[in-house]
Amino acid sequence: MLNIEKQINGSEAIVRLEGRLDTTTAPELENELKSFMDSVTSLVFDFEKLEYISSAGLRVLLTAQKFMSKQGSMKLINVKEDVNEIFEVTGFSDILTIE
Amino acid sequence: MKKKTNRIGRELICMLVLFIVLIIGLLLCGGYVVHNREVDSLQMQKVADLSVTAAALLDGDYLKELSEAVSSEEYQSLREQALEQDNPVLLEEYLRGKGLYEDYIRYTQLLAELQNGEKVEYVYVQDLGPEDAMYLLDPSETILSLGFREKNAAGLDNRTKNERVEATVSRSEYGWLCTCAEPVTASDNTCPAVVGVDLNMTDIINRRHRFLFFMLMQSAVLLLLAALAGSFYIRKRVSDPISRLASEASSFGTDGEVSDLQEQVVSVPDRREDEIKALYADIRKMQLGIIDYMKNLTAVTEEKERLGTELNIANRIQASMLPSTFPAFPDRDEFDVYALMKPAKSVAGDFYDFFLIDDDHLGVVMADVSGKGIPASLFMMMAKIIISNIAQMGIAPHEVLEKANERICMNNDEDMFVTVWFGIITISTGHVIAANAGHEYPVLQNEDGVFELFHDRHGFVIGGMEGVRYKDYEFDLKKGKTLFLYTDGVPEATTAQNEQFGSERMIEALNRKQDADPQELVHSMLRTVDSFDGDVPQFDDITMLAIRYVGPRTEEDQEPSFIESQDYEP
Repeated sequence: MLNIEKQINGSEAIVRLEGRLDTTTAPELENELKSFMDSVTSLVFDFEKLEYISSAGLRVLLTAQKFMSKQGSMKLINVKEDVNEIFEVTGFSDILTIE
Repeated sequence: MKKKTNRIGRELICMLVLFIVLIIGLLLCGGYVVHNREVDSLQMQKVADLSVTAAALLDGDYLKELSEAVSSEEYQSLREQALEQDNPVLLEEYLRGKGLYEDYIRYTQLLAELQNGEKVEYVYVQDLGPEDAMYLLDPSETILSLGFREKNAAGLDNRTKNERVEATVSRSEYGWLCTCAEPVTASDNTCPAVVGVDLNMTDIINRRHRFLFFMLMQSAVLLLLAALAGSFYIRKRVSDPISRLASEASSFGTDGEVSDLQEQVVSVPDRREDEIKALYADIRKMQLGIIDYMKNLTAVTEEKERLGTELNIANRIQASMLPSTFPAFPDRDEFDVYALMKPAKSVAGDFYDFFLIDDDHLGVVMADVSGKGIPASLFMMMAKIIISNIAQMGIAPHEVLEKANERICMNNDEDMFVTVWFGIITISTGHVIAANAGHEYPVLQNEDGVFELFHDRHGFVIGGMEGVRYKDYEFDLKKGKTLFLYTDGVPEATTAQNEQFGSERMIEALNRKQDADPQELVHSMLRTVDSFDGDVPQFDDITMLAIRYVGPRTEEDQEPSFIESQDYEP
């Protein structure tokens, strides 16, 4: 359902997601992020192939955003229209850096 | 109990019997052959010695003369005559006339003594030719046999002269005989005759056969005893224990409760260490393991049932938190409200709420907590109580959401959040002031009766971050028109092919029911969503609320409001 591909270069990490980020798959991403987030100062999410994000997925992004705000920066790139709409509706577009 | 089978036992016995038969057969055959050979060679040695002795007793020159005389035609015709008349005197006279009779008698007697003394069956002197043999001396017969010609026995063909015939054992018309012939040499080194000695082997052979028969009988009895003993032993040591194990193992767990299983466990037999005891021990260990596992499983199942029961109760508590008696305000006919929540799991994270803030103001809440299940439901309970408490204070919607956000953020280590649409409807006018904390767009029916998404101003979700600001917005609910609120469970209902129901289908469905009352509208939407995602289990909680503004009361039953509407100005 969700394919997580991460690429870490020193303190910079890029996470590419493919599929659906929902209640079932959000814990996977959360565990994945926990495993390396302490050591990075720049976190980039590539949402090019992300089809859908549910509130459980938004929660993981919120946690990541709060964490990264303290020790560096976090941004989202290549966000699809459907997913962006969810960010707009939930007001997440106000707190996330979307490029 | 199952029918007892003893296949292994039978097969083992068959193997055993076959093995014994093979051993006995080999031993018997070997012993028989070796023993016979020994006895035969002793007999042959004896017969060879005897024939050499007999040959030494005889005079070759005399035998040469006798042979010549007897083979003459004169003698032969005389012999025929003597045989006809049964008159041996004719032959005696003839021999006397040749001067051969005295020696004939003497040598015949010598041979007779040998024959009797050494218990020899036959001793005889023959002139052995290529095809036949002519009898010269034969103590067993009268003189009439002198000159009797006899066809050579098989194996003596093609002889050219009198020579040694090696000892043999054979069966002839005279019974079992061990025969040997030794040539008698004349002074001119010719051999006019051989001395044949026959030893009777019939006794020996008969005894040999009796011995063989006896041995066979003994072997058969031995075999029978061995088979019986083996059968008994195998049955007792192998078949029976295995059969018992099989039947006990197969009856294990076929009936009764888990508590009865302990009695059905096989008991390890009290016997010396062997594979069968080990097998019993292993199966016993396995059965005890199964019992442990089943007990565990029972405990887990009980725990699961207990959890299920608790979830059921939790579900009822949660459901009772939401206003679910309709019509909700039987004495208010200015509006008609209907709502339902259908959880995806036992408990939900969605909620709706509506309550009279005062006589002229109705608060309406539609909210969706991030995630599902028990965590979301606990968070939902907290959010619902906080929001309704704050809303009762009679402050503007954006303030309600801001205060609720501060309260909820205070104790939110799990970063959970809730999207909330909160609106206050002025009952007397249909005017609505609302604020949206990251919730779905509401659907509003316009003057023409068409349902449209109302793209309202959005703030951030509640509980996500402290100090978030919200803004109020306003609109009017026209007379007879409906406001439809929902959570994302409706547009995000998904088919097995990953197709979402979507906002457009939702609007279309609403527009097919433009004149329906709130209850009908909500239920028809639920049916549409259910038929859209087919057999796919509901993925997210589905919550809907519809409120139709019927219109203000007539002048006479209008009551003054307690709170001035200015209080709600943003």
